[in-house]
Amino acid sequence: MPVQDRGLVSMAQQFSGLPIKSLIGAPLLAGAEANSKMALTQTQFLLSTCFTNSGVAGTVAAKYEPIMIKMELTRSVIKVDGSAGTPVKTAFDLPLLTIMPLNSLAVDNVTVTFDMEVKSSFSNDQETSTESESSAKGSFSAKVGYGLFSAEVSGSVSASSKDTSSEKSHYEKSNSAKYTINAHAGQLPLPEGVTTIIQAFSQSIAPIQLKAGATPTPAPGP
Amino acid sequence: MSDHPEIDCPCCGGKILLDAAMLLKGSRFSCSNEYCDAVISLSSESHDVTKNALDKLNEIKKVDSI
Repeated sequence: MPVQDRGLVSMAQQFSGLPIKSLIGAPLLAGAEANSKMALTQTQFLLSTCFTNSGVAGTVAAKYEPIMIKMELTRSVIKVDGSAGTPVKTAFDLPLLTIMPLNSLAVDNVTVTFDMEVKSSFSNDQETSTESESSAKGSFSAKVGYGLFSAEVSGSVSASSKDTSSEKSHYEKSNSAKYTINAHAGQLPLPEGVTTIIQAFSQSIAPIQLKAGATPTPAPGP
Repeated sequence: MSDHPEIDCPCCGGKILLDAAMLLKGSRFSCSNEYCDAVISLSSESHDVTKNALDKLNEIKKVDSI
């Protein structure tokens, strides 16, 4: 029978060598790194597309000014007599930044699942059976004569034996591990400040109703 | 920067639903109030600016998808 280590596997020993920090930390770091790259890409896009830079880019002297686009609000006019008049167009400016369909994508969920199963089993089935069978058989006959001598001797012997022995041994070790990482990237909600800015712009579209005798105040310059 | 923002109609206070990408391409959006005929659209003089921005955005999306 071959020499085997029949001791059961130490569970603590099996798990002590696992790089738990790497298993958990690596996916989280990868998610954070992906977020950083996405944010950098989006920021670079916004700065290069939605702003004009009058200074030196990437320095403290950089001066970014938002690119404005002109929007038009068209309203129909119905004259006193009920006929259609010339539509009135109101133009207003919006920062391109506020209307670009650029999603704030980010990895918002990282799930790390690690299953490890260590199996150790040992069984020894020993079966010994001895079967012995013996049989003997004998016969003898003799015959003697006188005068013209005659003699006859006959004999027979028979024997058999049977031995059987068997032993079964079973030893099994198995390790299995499953490592699953689920990362989900979703659209982040707009920051409260951006929402407020957009709301302010949409409200500023509304025409200003002047009271009788009031004069419009010019908007302060930049 | 949502794809489907909405603004208050300056005429009647109703809602004007916008699709930012379509608006930047020149589509016109009207007030959801059936009695209001206000229409908002991009001025023709800003078409080049928005087209340039959308082209750059599409380039970024192509790079990201690779």
